[in-house]
Amino acid sequence: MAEFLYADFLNNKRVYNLAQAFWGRLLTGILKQYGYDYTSYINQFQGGKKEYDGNPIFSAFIPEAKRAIRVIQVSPKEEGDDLSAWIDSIESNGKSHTEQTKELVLDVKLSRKAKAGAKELMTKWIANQLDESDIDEIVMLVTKE
Amino acid sequence: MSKKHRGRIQAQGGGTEKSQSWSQDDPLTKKQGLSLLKSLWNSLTKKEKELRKKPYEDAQRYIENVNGGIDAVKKKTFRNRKTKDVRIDIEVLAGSAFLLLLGIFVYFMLFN
Repeated sequence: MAEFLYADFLNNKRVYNLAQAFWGRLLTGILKQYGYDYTSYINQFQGGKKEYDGNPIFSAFIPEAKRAIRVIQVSPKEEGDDLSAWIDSIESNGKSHTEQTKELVLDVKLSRKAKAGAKELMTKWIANQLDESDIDEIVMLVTKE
Repeated sequence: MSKKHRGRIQAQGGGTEKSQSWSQDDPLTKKQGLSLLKSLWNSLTKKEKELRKKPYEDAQRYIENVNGGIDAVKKKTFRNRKTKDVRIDIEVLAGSAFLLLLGIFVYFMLFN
């Protein structure tokens, strides 16, 4: 059975926060080579309290790349593949109008292979080298190795 | 001019792209949100419904359980995990949503 990182994140707020920080570090490492920064664009709160449901666990808008990333992390006990991904869009506010920004969405059970796949997808996404048609192949190559 | 409270509920993935949106001066109530979700559901084909039964139930439960409303920007995805990307998305793009009527009254008293 695959080993999962932060497996107890839905039951333990401390572990949840560590998992959240993990995604931030992963993206920061990728952005470093470009000198890019990111801001979170999803409100994590409901009625004044932080949501700890992993949906999403992390979001990032990278203005210089005009790209966004949203990560949904689910329990290792959930059915389905460890990693799925698709491209969606978000509204971002420009100087004078609302703009559509492309958003990479990752749905992850955080195994080591899923981590590698997520990193590969994020890296290509920031470098503007990821087409929607490539996603399945990358996911399969990385997670089935 | 765009309204203060906006959002949409979408059925996406697997070749489907259908949505119900709102754009209004007052926050969307839970009742209105559930009604929009139901309208979206009714617009789906039998096959689209079969693939989204659990996502639909999860989205419905999420709206019902919202406590104190949610503020933009919020995106929640309820995916059929047996598929790559078949899902129902809830997006609160501006303002607030899924408040109870009492909450709307309080909001009105505070901000108008």
